[in-house]
This record gives sequence, structure tokens and C-alpha cells, in this order.
Amino acid sequence: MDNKQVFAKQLLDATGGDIQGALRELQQAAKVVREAKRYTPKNQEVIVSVNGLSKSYKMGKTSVDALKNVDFTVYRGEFVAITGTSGSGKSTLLQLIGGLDKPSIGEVTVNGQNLKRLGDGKLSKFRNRTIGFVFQFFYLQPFLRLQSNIEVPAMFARTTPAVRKRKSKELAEVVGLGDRLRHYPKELSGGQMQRAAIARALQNEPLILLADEPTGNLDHTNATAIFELFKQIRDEHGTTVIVVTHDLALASLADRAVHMSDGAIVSGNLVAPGATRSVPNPTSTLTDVSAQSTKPINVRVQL
Amino acid sequence: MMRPLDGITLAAAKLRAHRVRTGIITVIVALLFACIMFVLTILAGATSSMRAFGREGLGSRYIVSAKPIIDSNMTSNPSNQALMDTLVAQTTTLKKAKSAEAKRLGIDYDAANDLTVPIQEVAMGSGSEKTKMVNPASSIAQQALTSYIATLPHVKYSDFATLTKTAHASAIYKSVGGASAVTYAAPTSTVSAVVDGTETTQANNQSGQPSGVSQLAQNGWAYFDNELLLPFVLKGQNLAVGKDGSIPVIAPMSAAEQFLKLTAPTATATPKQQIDHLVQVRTAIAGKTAQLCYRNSSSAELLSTAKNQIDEAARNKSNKNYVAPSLQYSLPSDVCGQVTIKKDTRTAEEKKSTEKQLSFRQQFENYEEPAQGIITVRIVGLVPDMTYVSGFSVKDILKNMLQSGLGQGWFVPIGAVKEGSLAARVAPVWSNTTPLAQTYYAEFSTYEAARDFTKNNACSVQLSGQDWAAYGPNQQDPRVKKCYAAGKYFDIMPFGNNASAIEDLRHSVWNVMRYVAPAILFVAALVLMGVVGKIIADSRRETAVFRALGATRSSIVQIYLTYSIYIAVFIAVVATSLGLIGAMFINHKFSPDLSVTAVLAYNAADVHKQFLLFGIDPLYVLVTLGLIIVAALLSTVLPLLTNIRRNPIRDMRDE
Repeated sequence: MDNKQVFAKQLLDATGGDIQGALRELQQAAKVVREAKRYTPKNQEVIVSVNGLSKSYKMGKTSVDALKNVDFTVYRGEFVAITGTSGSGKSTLLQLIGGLDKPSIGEVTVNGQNLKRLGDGKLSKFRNRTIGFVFQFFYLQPFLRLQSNIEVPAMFARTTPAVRKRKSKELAEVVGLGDRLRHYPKELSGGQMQRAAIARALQNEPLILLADEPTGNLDHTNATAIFELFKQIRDEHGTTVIVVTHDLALASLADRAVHMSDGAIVSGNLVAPGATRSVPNPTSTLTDVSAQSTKPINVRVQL
Repeated sequence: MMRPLDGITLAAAKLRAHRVRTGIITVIVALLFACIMFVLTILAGATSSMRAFGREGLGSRYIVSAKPIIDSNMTSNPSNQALMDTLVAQTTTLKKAKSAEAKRLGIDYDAANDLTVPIQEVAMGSGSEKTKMVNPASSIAQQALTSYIATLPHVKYSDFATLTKTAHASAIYKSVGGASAVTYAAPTSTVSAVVDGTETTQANNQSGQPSGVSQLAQNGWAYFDNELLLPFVLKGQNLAVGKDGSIPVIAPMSAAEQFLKLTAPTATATPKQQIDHLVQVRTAIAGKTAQLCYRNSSSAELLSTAKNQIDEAARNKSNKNYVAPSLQYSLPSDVCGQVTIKKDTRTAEEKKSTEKQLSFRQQFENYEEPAQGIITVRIVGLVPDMTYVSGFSVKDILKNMLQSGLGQGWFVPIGAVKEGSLAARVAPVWSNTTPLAQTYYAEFSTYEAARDFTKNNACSVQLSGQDWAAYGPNQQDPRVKKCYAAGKYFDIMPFGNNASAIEDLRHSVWNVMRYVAPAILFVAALVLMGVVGKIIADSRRETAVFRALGATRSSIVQIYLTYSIYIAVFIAVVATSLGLIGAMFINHKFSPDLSVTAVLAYNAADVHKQFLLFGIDPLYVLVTLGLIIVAALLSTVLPLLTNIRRNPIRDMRDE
């Protein structure tokens, strides 16, 4: 099979063999690409720079390439959605940006910090202070009240109880759970739990919010509300938001949607010309380099 | 690291997540530790009580007694050939002299069956060959043996003094006579108690051992240095000879009961009855003078003859053919008086024959004229009757352990009895004794010093079958031989109390616990590890989330260690509660009886002193709690080490 056939198969697999659905997805993707071409971030300061990133996993005796030579840039204050089918490498990319894993090849630079050079302790501090994580399954502590749950990252930061309590109350208000602070997670709905998880992620006022399929367990209304919340957070706090989702409609709510397939970014990527892999240039003119860097984009454009 | 309170918050949340599983396992583990706590609490109570009672009598003092090692078979089989040769020669000479005198007096004398000469020829086994043996009843043999023993090296009091000096003993004492003394022959004299003007003896006690005045009749009294007697002196009494000449004595409880005409409580008596009895005896006997009637062997023989004649006459009162003896005696009219002749119908020839026999005995057999008299003693102290209980119940075992005394018998201060007096006949007097009848004592300031002295100087040689096989006539006792070769001249053992037994018990329990505790620790840690390991393994995703939220490895370790401390505290609370409740139950069941046993055994001044099987020794508690914490930590460390080394993404991807 050539690349076109592979892509078509992946698309059909993703829609469960529904050709009409696949076409709708493609149209949506084309729209995203078109919009991306027109998109220029407001702030041109690079906050995340991924250069030549590859990640392989051992699965028994075979090695699986989750990411293949990826270059990726995010600008301060951006709301970026990373889309792609299951196994396309979007979560892996997010985890590497968040310092949860080490790349096999390449570098990740976040806010000027090359994660490769950080030891375990500094990496923990980086995750605690610079990054806020939101997960698909919320991962709230079932036997902690909501307020304590929101305070967990602050506990790891040794923030004083008074400060973090005040902060957790503020954040609960922001995510619309100000009246649920004494509740346990089991007393909340899925949407409320995810809001609580977002509040938790914001506890230490991170520069970047990383959300891995945050709406995967939510209905459409709640999912949309969560994305609106991300936008609100970005707008009010200037937090850079990177969300992984397979929902292209939701992705369209972001400033920019980056589409991944088979461990590579196939659209929506912006790379500053002249930027080296080690030192991103935040002031350079931006162009969508996806078409030059990957072949599948040609197929997408023609469609 | 997190703030400790935050660690506690997260660990507590974790604890709630698996509370049923964790609860069941921790209760099981707590039961294991409760067993340790139970045993240690009882042990702490028992040892504490033993020490408290140990302050009574000689209990608080670390004294060892030492008896010179002298050939135990010396009287019958001396290895000293020169001594044997001398005694054989003396026997031959004596027999010749006796034969000649018997011939001169015209009386019968059977030299072959003379049981009074120094050397007896005894047929050993089935063979016709006879073995020459020393006759301990012979005064000539006794003198020869005494002289011989006096020449033995290293066994004198001065030798013991030298030995103890290097071991830094704080004091040395000595005693002579008594039940522990080796005597050549059992006394044929008698001592009886005078109660209400009548000479009375007392039957053996329930264990078949002599009690009361019978102990005095059997073993005489022992002379002790005052320092050893003082702890047993009753309140308001002293060890000085009375103005009326009364001899101060420390008597066994049974003797006091005999003089007071009281009966010892039965085995079924309640603790209160036993204590009331003790108080009654102590109060009534303190300082009371009592009269003993001493009769030498001739007097005792006459008294016995008189009693037998009276009994026989009574039995034959209606027998017309009964012929009364030609020489009839009547019982003494005075207390402890002389036996008098009631009727003498002997012929002149009979009288002459009797006189010749008497003359012959006086000349050759140390015959004494009948002598008797009253000895006045003042009971100034009491010692428990040392008894051994053969049962295996807790009470019986402790009863055997809970004893503090000077040994069995009566005790008199050295110097209270004048040499040559009637009282001196009750037991050998100090100046005339040999090392064979002496016991030496050394006092130390600590149990360890006493133990070390015993260990370094007591003879503890092992004898093989070959040693005994080589032991023949005129051979030195193989044990004595080996002890002397090793430079050990004394048999040394703890004296006056069971401090060493108590310490040994403690050490034994500690030794057992040294193996049991790690075993329990291992099992507990294994059981805990099974559960805690599973819980930690199940928490990999949670750990990964914490790591994603910024937890350092040390924070994760902190959470789980706090978690294990939580479990340890739970185990400690349950184990301590169950262990203490169990020990309290045992204490409630056994303490009242044991208290009485201990009060009686130690002759405690405070009769209401409690013997408890419940005690909290901080060391024991700390050790148990330490073990619990170690078990909990051990169960956490291995799974945790595995957990924190894992890649958090891997655990999150397992979703």
C-alpha cells in the first residue's frame, strides 16, 4: 500500500468503515488546515519547542515508533488542539512536552528549559510549577473532599495551607464548583469532576495546561463547556493550553488544531523559519510547514 | 518532601481506599504481636514482682555459697593409702585390746562382727572377697578423717577469702553445720519441744519432710554469721543472747506453729486465711522463749526403753503369763528429767554382768552417761520451710522459684552457743569443725559479679563413663580428681534467693524471644507485604498521577511510609490492647494465690504485698513497638522501591 491507501484505511478505521463519516471528517480537517494557514498567534514568543522528536516503545520483542522526527512549536498564550486517530502519537507528544517521559531522540524545550537536561527532582518541580495536567479519567482522590483534591499539587509545592485554601476556593469559583468544595468526587457528575481536575491543574498557576482527551468521558454539552473553560482560562490567565482530542469539532474551538497521524504531524504545525532545533526563534515569520515536511498533507489538500 | 501533615492527609486517604482488606490483615498481624506483648507483659510483671519480693529476706543480695570439694566417698573409700594403713593398724590393735579386756572381764566379744572399730570388712557383690572400708561411726576414724581433711589444700576459709578477694566480693561469711553439712554419722541424740510441760515431737509435714523441731533433731542447727541472719529477724527482735541466757534462733515456720500449737493452713485454704495465719504466727512468736529438751544417746535410749516397757506392760495387763523385765524404768517425773529405775529385781550376777558390759563400752566405745537438759531458745526470726513442689502448674513452678531463705532447718548466730555447754551438743560448735561441715559465702554488689565469680570458680567438669569405670577401691573420686586438676576446689551456687534463677529466667525468655520475635516479625512482615505490596502495586496509576502533578520520588516515599506508619500504629494499638487485656486476665486469675505464695515463701514483712503477673516494662513495650514499625516498614519498602522506579507514563498507559 502506498501512503494514500494507508491514510484512507486509517480514516475508515477511525470512522468504523463509515465512508460518509470519513468524508465529513476530511472536510472538517480541510477546514482546520485552511484556517490554520490563515492563523497567526497573537504572541510570537515560543513557549514550547519540539525538535526532531522521536519516541519508540518496546512491545515485547518489537519496537513501536510512537513519534517520528517531530518538530512542533507552541506560542505563549496559544490554545492548541492536537488531533489524530488512536495511536497517532498525540498523547505521547503531550507527555513528552509535560516531562512525563523521555524522548528517544530529539529535544523538548519548554519556557527555555531543555527537559533533557533536567534531573528527576527538577523535572518534578517543572511538572509541578510550569505544567498543569488534566486527564481523561480525572484521577481525583476518591476519599479527599473537592477542596483537598484541588490542593494536591500545592501540597507537593509545599505551599502553606492558608494560601492554597484561598487559591482552591478561587479556582473552584472559576470552574463553577464554588458550592461543591466539601463534596467528595463520587458526589459530582463527570463534567464537574473534570472541572475539578482543571482547577487542580491550575492550582500552582502553571504556564501551560496540558489536557489529554479531557472530554473523552463527557457528553457533547459538557465537552464543549470544558473547551470553553479552557478558552476562558487562556483568555483570563494567559495560560497556554494544549489539548489532545480526537474530536475535530471540539478541536476547531482551539486557536489552532494540529493533526497527527502515524507518529507525525500532518497539519496545523507552525515552525518559525530559521529556528534551529535547539534554540527556537520566537520572532520569526510563521508558515505552515506541514505540507513540506510530510507527504500525507498533499492528499488532504487535494481532497 | 511534603509538609508532614500533607503526607498524613494523603496517606489517610489511601488507608480509606482499602480499609476492609487492610483492616483484616492488620488485625491478623496485630494478633501475632499481641502474643509477644502478652508474654512480655506477664514476664515484666513477674520479674518486677520477683524483684519486689526479692527485697525481702536475702532477695536483694547477690550471695553465693561455696562448699569445699572433698571426696564424697572418703568415709567408705578413701584414696589416701597411708590413712587406710593407719586405720587398719589401729583396728587390729583395738580388736586385740578388746579381746584381751573381754577375756579379763569374762564377757563375750565377737571381733569379727564388731561394728565400732575404724575399719569394717564388707563383702562387695557376690564374691567372697571382702573390701576394707572406713567406719564413720568410729570416733577413731572420725578423728583420723578430720585430721586428714584439715591437710587438704585450697579448701579452707582462708583459701576462699583469697579467691573472693580477686573477684572483688564485698563481704565473705561462713556457716557450719545444719542440713547442708556433711556429717560422719547421724546423731543418736534427740531434741524435742517442750509444750505445756510435755516433750513433743512433730510428725513430718505433708511432703514427708521433717518439720518443726524434727528438723533440729535430725540436722542440729546451723551457725551463721549475723549478717546473713539479720534479714530474717522479726520486727523488734535482735540476735543477742538473752539476759536469761536464751539462745536467739531463727526457726522454721513449722517450728513456730508447733510451739504455738497452731496448724498450718491446708492446701485449700484461701489466700486470706493463709495471710491471717502468717500474721498470727509472726505476732505470737516474736521474742517468745521456748524450751527444748536435749537428750544424749544414752538418755534417749533409756527414755525409749521406759516407754516401750510401759507400752508392753499395758498390752499385757490381762496376760497372767507375762513376765516383767527384771529392771524396770519409769518415765521422768520432771520436764526433760532423768529416767529413773522403777523396780530392780536383777540378780547379783546380772548386775555384775551389766557393770562389766558398761565398763567395756566406756573403755572402748565412747559410752556416755545419760545426760539431758532444757535449752532455752528465743525465737527472733522465721524462715519459710523450704519445700519443693513437684507439680507443673504455673503456681507450682513459681512456688519453687519464689523462695528465699537460709536453707532448711534452724539457725543460730555464731557465738551464741558456748563451747562445752549443753546447747553445743545440738550441733558441732564452730571451733571444732572441719571444712567438711563448713560453708563459705561471698557477697557481690551485682548479679553479674556473682554470676561471673560462680562461672569462673565453680567446678563444672563433665565425667565420662570411662572416668567412672576407672573408679575403683582406694581411688580418688574422679570428679574431685578432675576439679582439683582444673584448679577448682569449691562447689559454688547462688544462695539465699533465686535472683539468679529469676535473671536466668529473664535471659531465657529473652533468648527465646530472640528467635520467636524475628520469626513473628518475618511472618508479620510477609503477611503485611502481601497486602501492602498489592495495595502499592494497585496504586501505580495513582502514583503516576501524583508524579504528573509534581510529586517528587521522596514525596511518594513519604506518603507510603506515612501509610505504613498508620498501619503500624493501628497494629500497635490493637496488639497492645489485646496483649494487655490478656495479661490482665491472667493476672486476675493467678495473682491472689501467687501473692500469698510469695509472701509465705519470702517471709515478706508486708503481708499484703502483691505478686503481679502484669507489668509494663518500657523496654519491652519499646521493643514490641519497634518490631511492629520494622514489620510495617519492611512490608512497604520493597514494593515501594519497585513502585517509584517505574515510568509514570507506563502506568498511565495501562488504562
